[in-house]
Amino acid sequence: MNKVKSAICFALITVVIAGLIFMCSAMFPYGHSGRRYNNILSMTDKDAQYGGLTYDDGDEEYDEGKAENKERYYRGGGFVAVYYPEGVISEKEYHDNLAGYETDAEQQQKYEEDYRKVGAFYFEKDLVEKDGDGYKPTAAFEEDFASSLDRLKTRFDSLEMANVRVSVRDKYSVAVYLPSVGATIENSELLSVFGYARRMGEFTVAAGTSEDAATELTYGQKEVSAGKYEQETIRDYIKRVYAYNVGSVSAVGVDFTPAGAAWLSTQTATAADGAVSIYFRIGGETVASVSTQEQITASTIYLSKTSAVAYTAYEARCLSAAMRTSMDTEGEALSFTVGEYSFEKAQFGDLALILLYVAFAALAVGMLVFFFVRYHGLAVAHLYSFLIYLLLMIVLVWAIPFLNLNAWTVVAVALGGLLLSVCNALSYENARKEYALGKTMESSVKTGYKKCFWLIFDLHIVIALLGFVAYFISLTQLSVFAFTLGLGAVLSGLCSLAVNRFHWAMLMTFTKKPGAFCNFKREEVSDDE
Amino acid sequence: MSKLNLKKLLPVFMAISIAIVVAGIILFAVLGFNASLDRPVQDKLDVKYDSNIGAQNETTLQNFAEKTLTDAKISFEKEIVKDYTSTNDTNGSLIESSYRIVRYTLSGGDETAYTAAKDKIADEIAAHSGLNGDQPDIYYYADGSVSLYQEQLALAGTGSAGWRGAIALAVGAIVALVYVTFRFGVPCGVAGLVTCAHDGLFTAALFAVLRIPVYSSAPLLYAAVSVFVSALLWVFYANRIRAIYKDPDTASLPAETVADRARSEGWKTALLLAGLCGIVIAVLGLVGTLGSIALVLPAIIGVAVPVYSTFVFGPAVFAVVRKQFDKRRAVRNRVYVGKKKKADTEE
Repeated sequence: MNKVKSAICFALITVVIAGLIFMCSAMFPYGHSGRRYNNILSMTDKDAQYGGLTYDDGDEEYDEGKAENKERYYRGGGFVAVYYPEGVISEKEYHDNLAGYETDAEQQQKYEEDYRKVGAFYFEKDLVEKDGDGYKPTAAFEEDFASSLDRLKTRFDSLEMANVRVSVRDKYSVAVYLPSVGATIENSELLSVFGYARRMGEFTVAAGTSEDAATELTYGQKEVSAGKYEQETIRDYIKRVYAYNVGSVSAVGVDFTPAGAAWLSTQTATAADGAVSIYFRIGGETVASVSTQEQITASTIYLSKTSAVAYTAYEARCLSAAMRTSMDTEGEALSFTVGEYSFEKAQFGDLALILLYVAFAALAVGMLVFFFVRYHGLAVAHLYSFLIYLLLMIVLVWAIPFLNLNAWTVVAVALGGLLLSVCNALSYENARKEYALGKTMESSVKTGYKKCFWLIFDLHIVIALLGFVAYFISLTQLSVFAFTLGLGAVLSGLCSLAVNRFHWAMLMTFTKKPGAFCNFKREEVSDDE
Repeated sequence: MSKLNLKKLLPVFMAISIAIVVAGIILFAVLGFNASLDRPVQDKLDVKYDSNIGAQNETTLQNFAEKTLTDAKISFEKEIVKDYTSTNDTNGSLIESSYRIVRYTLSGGDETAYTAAKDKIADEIAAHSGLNGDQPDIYYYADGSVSLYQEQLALAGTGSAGWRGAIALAVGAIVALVYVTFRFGVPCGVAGLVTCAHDGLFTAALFAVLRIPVYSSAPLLYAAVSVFVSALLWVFYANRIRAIYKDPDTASLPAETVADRARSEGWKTALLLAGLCGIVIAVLGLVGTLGSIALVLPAIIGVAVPVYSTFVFGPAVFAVVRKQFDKRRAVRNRVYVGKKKKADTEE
């Protein structure tokens, strides 16, 4: 490679790296409508427990009176909703409601008669029985509550999201925690998400020209073996329900079985004469619907929030989970009402993510100081390889949907970076030894790399195999850590064996004294020899 | 590095490892890990109120709670744990308001006494006209139950996630060491697999035996760190062994001598690599908030265990496996030689 070609390549690589750094770290407002350019790091999903900047810490100019701008700051944490079983209200709600009847003594008395105090709650009188001086819930209520709680847990578990928690609070209320994914969740979305999950009971489908006139799908008998019949279920008509995402638009997909598709086709046969709607209900309440003016002959339909508004990804995920889990449970259960919503700050504190970045930066600076002291100008080759590795890792963690930023992702990226640094140092040291023996720089690099190629290759392959295989089997945080480390090993291998060597070759064309440039020295030979 | 009699020491290493791993398994089965970081071990009482009620009302409120607890002879420690914004679903819309939570950590009573105290505080507060309209909420969390404000950390490392994680690491190690077998030979692959499995189990067992407080999902990740570092160090070690066998001067050395020589020659590199991994984890662990320090820093044990393995346990296992492997190969060769002799006789 001659000097001109090297200079062009070097300039191009520098521009690419600068562009990636800009994409990954710059954030600024533009235009007059409060728009903001968001960097990749800010858009990457973060683990809810690691707070970053809170929205209050942001630029006041863009916060003032502009809720949409506030949403753009990552703040970590998540949302807690308290669910009360039907017929049960909090002490606070009871007193608030009672205070509302202050001017109507009769209504107030009736309201008081309808409720009985049990612990921290007020129960509708039919749900309790006498227990000494006080009251206790009936055995039937306890049983229904336990069953509903199981269903609620199954429903949130099926979201397969880290940090989602369902726990019983004060015996008869349930606290549900949903992590704040990114910074885009809004209050209205939150209301929908918690609202979908609260409905319990049988999953049914109905079709008709209006909700009241809709006729529900009725189940016949199916032959399970010769002469043996059993009742059909919704599973004989609907194959699966799932969240379907295309870009930023999400829908809930419903796949019908052939029998279900036939029912759908029959029900919508008259749609040309007047719109027919299909209603999806949980416990008798409609959770989603779709209208058509044509006969539906397909076996899959996609549901949107309204005819003009699509679901958000979070909404589609939660609604499909609610529908799916209802399909697999039989019998009635208590629905819940959603009491209070609250935002919980990140458990590890508002600065947790910033401190992780600081720690990573400190390690990177320490590593670069070592390289510049030990290898002088050659450290630039390592710096470029490391930057390419790091920036690509940031882009990949952002682009791959199941990855998010947390301490373990940062540990994995740092370990990958360490592997890259060690391997680069190994090749430099091998070349240094060769150069000391009197070889030319070109020959030293070639021999140096040849000596450690297979060791570097083996190290990366072993870590990548271990990471990817562990990812495919494991769940939760371990899978994220393992996959990130596997990814880091692949990129580190490429950067070490290809990119770094290419940078080295380029840099050598700019100097007339390659030994001094790389801080390599010839072995001193005594005159006697 | 001093020479070790690996053959004699292997039973000692094995005994240490088996003792710790078995003790760890038993303690894990009986007590689990010490997951006290995400599961409060005390009974707690939360008083949650609108933070705009005013300083006087706030004092009154806390006095109610503290007097009731003192009268019931319940000891307590007080802390203000949360100032947060709540959004309430009122008439279908969301209204933001600010709340404060005062948490009392209780001792000196039982669940019945605590529940009774909680009810009494709630009744007294409800009866106090000055606070009407902004009724505070009182919550009681029994010993060991997951608190609302801790629950986010409850783990993902138990149940199927825990088992799948363990299987994932095991399968990952097997696949990676099949590659090691392919590259460095069967004895290196087998010994590497034993070492990796040992390191993962040993690390998890140490957390169970020493009762180190952890977030309950974390031991699996520490074991994962251990397996990764172990595999990394083992590749270096296997590379040394191959170099010794490739050298005609040392190719015929006994397995024990080769294992010990590779250990002696590679210890600086292994220590440097493990030290660097340790530094990465220490810096990422230490520069953080208290919660993240408690999460990341113990992973340093996951780096220390493979160092022990690579220096003593792994080479000892390799020496034994290699010796057995050589013996079997010799037996196979003898059989072949016998047939050849027979053929010679017939000729």
